[in-house]
Amino acid sequence: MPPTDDNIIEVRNVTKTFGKTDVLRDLSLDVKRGERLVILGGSGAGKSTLLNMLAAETQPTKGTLTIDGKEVGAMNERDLDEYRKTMGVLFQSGALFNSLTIAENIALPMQEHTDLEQSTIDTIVTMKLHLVGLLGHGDKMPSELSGGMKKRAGLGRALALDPKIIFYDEPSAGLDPVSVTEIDKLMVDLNETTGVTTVVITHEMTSAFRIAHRLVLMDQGKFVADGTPDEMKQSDNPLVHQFVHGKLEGPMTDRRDGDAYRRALLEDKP
Amino acid sequence: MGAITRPVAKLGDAAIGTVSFIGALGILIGLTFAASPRLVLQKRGRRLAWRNLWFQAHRVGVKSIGVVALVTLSIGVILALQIVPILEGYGVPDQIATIIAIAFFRELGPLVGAIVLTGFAGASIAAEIGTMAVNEELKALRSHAISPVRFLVVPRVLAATVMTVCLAVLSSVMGILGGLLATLSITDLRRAEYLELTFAAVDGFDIMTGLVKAAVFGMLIGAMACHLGLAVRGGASGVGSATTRTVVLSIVALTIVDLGFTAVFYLLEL
Repeated sequence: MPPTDDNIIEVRNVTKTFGKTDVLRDLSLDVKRGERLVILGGSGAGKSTLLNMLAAETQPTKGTLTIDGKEVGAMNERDLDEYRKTMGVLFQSGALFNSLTIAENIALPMQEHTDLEQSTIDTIVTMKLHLVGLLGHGDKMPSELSGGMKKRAGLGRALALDPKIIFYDEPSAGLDPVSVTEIDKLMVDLNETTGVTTVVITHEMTSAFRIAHRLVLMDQGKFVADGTPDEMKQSDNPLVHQFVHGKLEGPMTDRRDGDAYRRALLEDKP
Repeated sequence: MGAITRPVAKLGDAAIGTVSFIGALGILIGLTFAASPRLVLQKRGRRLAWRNLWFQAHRVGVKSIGVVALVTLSIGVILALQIVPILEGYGVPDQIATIIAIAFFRELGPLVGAIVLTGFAGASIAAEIGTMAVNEELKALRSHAISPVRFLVVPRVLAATVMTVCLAVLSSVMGILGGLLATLSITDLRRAEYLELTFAAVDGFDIMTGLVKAAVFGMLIGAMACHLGLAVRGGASGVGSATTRTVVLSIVALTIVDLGFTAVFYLLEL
């Protein structure tokens, strides 16, 4: 299902400050309904903070965040919970509840938020397990699963309430290449069959190009580039070029090495 | 900062830290009270909530029975062996029954039961919730619009409260049994006389004050463990430090609250 023309997520001039540091600086971003957007960036670029904000875990210090026509900053806790029920998050570790089986993990959001009979919930759990390729593993505890299976189980739970948006936090972190390909394919299949808007945070370029309709690159709390996979590959922006091709030399490393070393040698010690 | 102002500033920091810690603990206890009725009244998720409560009660209480019984039985024996020779000097060795009955029902039963429970269950609750924080499970709960207070804190605090009351009864009975065994073996007192003196020494009010104390202790242990567990940051070392702090701070808090209770009862001549 291709992305539509209307925006499901609108980020406008958002700044997020922790202490004296601006982690996000005047960000603006639109995500189309049904789109697969990949947010790229090095460590400390502000990707996780942005994801936390989109998932209503934190609020912007300045600016507005509108999701499905509603401004997140204006929501009370009850409205925020209603919003949370319409989105799913796949956490880096899978974040399964270790005291519950896989099936119980997937059933939990339905038990908490719907009036469905247990037998109906069981049927839906079986469907979700099938969807993420874990049929027959429902009775296992999270500790019995491999890293890739944990992520798929986490995805099954994120899908429990049929969300409109799914956020993926570093879905390929810690997985072998085959599992990475499997997860990538799962993300694309889910998006294409259900039309769920997909926002992925990653720094794995192979994965990013495989998944994305569109990519944005973050650096020091700002978006520095925005384009389709082909546009990004051919970009002459030095930051994009360095990141996409994993070059050792470029603006990211120059900035880090030069300044810090000179300051450490010549200026006051911190 | 000068040599004089630095200690003052440190003292100020410590005072602010203590007040904000107590405030945060108080807020958590308030939220727990507010969320408790839903555990009983809710339709959705009731089965899981009760299973969760039962599991916690088993973990907190049932597994502590052996240790509490052994510790309080020993304390009963120790008290009798230490005090009987002194009482014999005054010609009233039988009064050991009175002393042990009042000491255990009003003071030692609830306190010793609670202290054992702190090491046993408080530490394990803090470690469990702390590990959940590190594994992003708390974030996952919030992302599914499930309140960690309702889902995690309420069953643990309720279980700790109820089970501390049960353990206080057990530890009082075991303490008296210890006193009885020791007294019978070193004096001419008969079992029936000892028990008669015991029943004469305590009235309903003594037992009631002991049980109320035990309930407050249990709530404090549960809330302290959950509060420190929820606040865990920074991986495995954070979990370790939360566990240690739970035990230390709970014992300090229990003793201070017990002191408060005893002072109030003394002043009111109860």
